[in-house]
Parts: sequence; C-alpha cells; structure tokens
Amino acid sequence: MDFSNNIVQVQDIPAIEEVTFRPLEDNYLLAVRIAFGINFLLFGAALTAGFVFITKLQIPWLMYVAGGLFAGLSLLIWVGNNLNYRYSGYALRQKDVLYRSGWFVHKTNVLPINRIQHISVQSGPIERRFGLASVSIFTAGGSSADFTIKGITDKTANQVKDWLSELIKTGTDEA
Amino acid sequence: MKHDTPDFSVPQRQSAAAIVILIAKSGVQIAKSLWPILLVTLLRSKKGSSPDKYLYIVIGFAALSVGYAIIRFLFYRYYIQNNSLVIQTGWLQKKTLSIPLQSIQAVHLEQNLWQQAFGVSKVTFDSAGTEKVEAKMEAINVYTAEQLKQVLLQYKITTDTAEGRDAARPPVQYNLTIGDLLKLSLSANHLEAFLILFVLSINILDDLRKAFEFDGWGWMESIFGDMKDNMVALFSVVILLVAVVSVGFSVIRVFIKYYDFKMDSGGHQWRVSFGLFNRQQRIIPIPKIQLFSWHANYVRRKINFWMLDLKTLGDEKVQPKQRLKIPLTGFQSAVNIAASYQQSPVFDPAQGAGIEPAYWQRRTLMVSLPVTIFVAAFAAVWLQWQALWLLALLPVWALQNFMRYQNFKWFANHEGVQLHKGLWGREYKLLVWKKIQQVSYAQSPYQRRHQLATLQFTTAAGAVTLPYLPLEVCRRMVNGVLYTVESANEKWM
Repeated sequence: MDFSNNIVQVQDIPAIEEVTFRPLEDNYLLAVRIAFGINFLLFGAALTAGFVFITKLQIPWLMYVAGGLFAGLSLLIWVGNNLNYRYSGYALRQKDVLYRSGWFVHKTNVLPINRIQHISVQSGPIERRFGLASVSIFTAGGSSADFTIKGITDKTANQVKDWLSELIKTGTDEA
Repeated sequence: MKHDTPDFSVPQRQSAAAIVILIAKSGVQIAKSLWPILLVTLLRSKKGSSPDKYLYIVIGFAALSVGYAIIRFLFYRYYIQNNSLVIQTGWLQKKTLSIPLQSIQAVHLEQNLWQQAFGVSKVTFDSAGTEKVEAKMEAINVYTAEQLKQVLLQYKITTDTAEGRDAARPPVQYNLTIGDLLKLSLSANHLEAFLILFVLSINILDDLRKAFEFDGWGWMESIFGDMKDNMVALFSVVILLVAVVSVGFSVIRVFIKYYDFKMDSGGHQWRVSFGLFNRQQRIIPIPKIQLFSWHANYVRRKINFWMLDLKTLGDEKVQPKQRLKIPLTGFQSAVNIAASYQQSPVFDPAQGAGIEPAYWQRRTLMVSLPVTIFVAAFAAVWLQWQALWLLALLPVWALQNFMRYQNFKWFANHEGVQLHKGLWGREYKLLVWKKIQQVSYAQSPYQRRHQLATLQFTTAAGAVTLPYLPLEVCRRMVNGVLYTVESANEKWM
C-alpha cells in the first residue's frame, strides 16, 4: 500500500502575504473614466431637465441641495474609481486564484482551483474599444460569479480561462 | 393487498388521481384569487338578475384548467434508462428531462390531505445541482412511490459505498412528544404569529366588505367604542386578547407543522418525517450539508430547546420559510447529531478564542451613533426638545454591541471552525474546511491602521464570518485553510 504522511513545516505552507499581485491594465482606468463620464452626463442632463421643465421643482434650496449632492457623489465616485484601480490586482497560483479590490474597504478573495465550476469571459462596448475583458469565476451554490477579474486584456482573459479550464478538466479526470 | 413491483424501465404514467389533484390545484388557485368575485356573482344571480359575465369567465377559466390538467396527465411519462431518471412532459412543447441517478441526492415523498385521500404521494428529487427541486411527480401510488424511492436511493448507496463514502457514522434516532410540541409552541415567536394574524385579519375584513358590504372595522369600533371611557379595561382586554390569540395561533401552527416528528439516520443520510395534515418525508444526504448550526432564542435557551438549521447545497434558492428546521429537545441532542457532520467535539465557549474589542467600539461609533443621531433629529420635527430622550438609545445599543462581542467565541482545528454567538439567544455554527468554496478577508481603513481584518469562509450554502481578528491570526488561518483544502483535494459533497 502506497501511503505517506510527511511532516509539513509551517514555514513551507505558501503565505498569502508573499503573493505579488499583477496590476490591472492602464487602459482600464481610462475605460472606467469614460463610463463614468457618460453616466455623469446622462444623470446631470436628467437632473437639469427636471429643474428646467418641472416648475414645482424650481425651489432654490432644493436645487442647491440636489446639485451639491450630485457634485459630491460624483467626486466620491471619481476618487473611488481611481483608488480602486490602484489597489486592484490579481494573481494566479498553481492551486488558487487571488483577486483584491476595494477603495475604502480592501478585500482579498482566494478561490481554490479545485472548487471552480465554470469560467466565463465577457466584455462591454467600452472595454472592447480598448481591447479589454473580464473573467468571471463561478463555484458551486450561488448563481452569481464568486469574483470577476476586471481590467485585463482580451488575450489575457482568454488565456486565464483556458488555463483554468484545463486545470479543472485535469482535476475532474483524476478524481 | 399484494402489489406487483413496477418495472421502471418501461415508461410509467402517474396515478389517475393525478388528474383530480391537478384539477383541484388549479381550482384552489382560482378560488383563492377570485373568491370575492365568485361570491358576489353567485349572490347577485340568486336575486334573479341575469347570469353575470364574470361567471362565464370563471367557468371558461376553470374549463381551460381542467383541459390543461388532463393534457399534463396524458403526456407525462417517467422511466429509468441508462442509469438516468427520464421524465417526458408536454404536448405541443415536448420536454425530456434526464437526471443521472448518481446526481440524485434525495427523494422526498409528500402527502397532503388530497393525496392521502387518494392513496398517492407527491415525489420530488434533489440533485447535485443548485436547483432546489429538479423534477416532481404530482401523484404516484404510495407503493409505487416507495418502490421508486428505493430503486433511486439504492443506486446512490451502491455508488457511495463503492467510493468508500459511507463511513461509519453515529446512528441518530429522535422524535418529538406532545409535551415537546407544547414546549416548542409556547416558546415560539408570538409577535410573529400576531403579525401574521393581524395581516390576515385586515385582508379578511377587506374581502368581507367587498363581498357582503359588511363593515368589519365599524363593527369593531362599535364594540371597543363602548369601552373607550375605561382605558384600563380596554387595554387589559386588548392585551389579553392579543396574547391568547397569538399563543393559540402559535400552538396550532406548531402542531400542524411538527406533529409526529421523527428523525433517524440511514448511514449517509437522515430521514425526517413530520406534519399533521400535510405529511412530509424528507431525506437529508449528509454530504450535501455545507454548514451545520443550531440556535435558540432567550426563552428556548432557558428551557434547553434548540432549532437545528442545516444549510445544504442549493438552500440559497429556497425561501427561508421552506427550509427545514429541526426542533431539538436539548443541547446534547444537537451535539450528538453534530457528530455526523464532523468528528471533533463541540467546543466549550468559555475555552474559545474571542475577537478584538474594537468590534463593539467601532460598531457603536460607526453604526449605532449615526443611527441614534438620525432617529433623534427625525423625531425632533414632531417632538422638539423631547426628542433628546431618544439619545438614551445609544448606551442601550452600545451595551448590546458589547454583549455581542463578549458572546462571540470561536475555535479552529485541523478539521474546521466552530462559532458561538448571540445577544440574548445563542447560535452555534460548525464548518468543516473541506466544504469551503472561497476564502476572503477584508480591511477597513481603521482595521488597516490597527492591523486587524475580517475573515470570511464561503461555502456552497452560506458563509462563516470572523470579524475583527488580528491580521497575523487572519493570515495564518487563510494560509492553513487553503493548504488543507488545496492539498487534500477531498470531495466537498
């Protein structure tokens, strides 16, 4: 019977704090800013139209409050997007995938490869314009993705998907 | 009566009673949604007026339902072929559902009053997928249903045993007596029962007004209006009435739901049956359990009555009310049953590790304080300076946060993590590492400054969160758990 039970040294266990995260593509920040700009213009136009065409809303204090809130929120989202871009990153290890994100609360997710059910690659019109895509990784249980690595090139996204798919297939065959 | 064993390799129909049940189901649905219109229409037609057009609509709708039920019955076939359960349905839009037998985790038989009257069972299946119920058969002869269940589960037992998964597990045998049911109903959430009754009463009063032009509210006002000069008597009557009705309603609810509750183990699964009118038989495959927890509110904790809450795969798609909760008559029962899920004994919270005190301090500062200020400011519009009294909420909430912090204890070893938490009630939660799907940790700016982190282990049926741990502890846990999950490559289900 082939059986081994070797001692594992604590220092030999891979440490998450030593992982070097790969940053997102430079173009991604530009894509996020363009998406923000479009939303900003749309909401700004809707707000302005509301105050111009609906006379009941033409109350000075209400206009100041709404304008102030809109400006404040927009500034917060702009700063948040920049900070989030700077912190976000991903890493691929032999046995798991890591993704970190968040501008206020920093969050690091680790997903063991032997738990992945399926992977999908997607890209929106702005992402496609910059040759970017996102990879969503799904595990069992929930219907939504466990995490989505955004802001990587279309080529990288497909490479990650193919690499993970191959690993899952190998793992399933072995099992 | 002798029964022939059915041959499931040949396409089978449901019992003929299925037509009646399908029609009845449609009828009940129609009656539920249209009963005020039906009543008014019938009453009006009695007065000699010409039959109302509504009646034709209802009759037409009912005829359609009957036709639909017959078509559903005639074109429904099921059989077992190539180790799969095949279900064929549909007339114009044909559908063939094929469920591999190895993925069938559980077979449930259910009998409501209709099904009991016709001697048939409703059969549903759980598969390894995330759908709550993949397929169902409305009415199968009870004997045939039992045979089908045995055939399907026998396959699972055979394959599981071949894979060595049917490890020796402690046997579980457990049932609830009438006394237990009384304890359970008296310690139930009566406020919830009252609210349900209250909403139902409003609906009924509204429907009565529409149907008979009966002013239920006016009638109640006339009764209580006579007593308005004596406020003490009025309050006493109202409180007594609410208490009696709520407790009575709770007792009835509990007896209807949990009557003749039985639970026993069959190696790799538990069999649970319960219910007075709607008799249910559920199979819980132990490998499908992702998280194991039991909890009690303050009253139940004092009388040592706990509710077992098993989070199984796909639970997130099931309504919370439909999830199976198992009443336990004692803490030891929970501990005994927990041995089926994990080998390690349940920890003593007094010996467990705690979390950092920053948990309750930050919660008070960042959540309780802003909420208190907002509530007081909002109330000041009506109460003016009197609203300042609401600031007294802050120390109350702070105390609650402190108690939550004090009661939060955890313990981790090579097999998994155990949690103990609660404010007035208590909850125990167990998670074995092999069930983990994802590990994550988060840090707010405050936590980053103070080298703290909130750790979360996600399973296929919920998550376990350890808030405000020292960052070093959090990292060690993440590294150790990932090593366990990734190196062992154990089956998580």
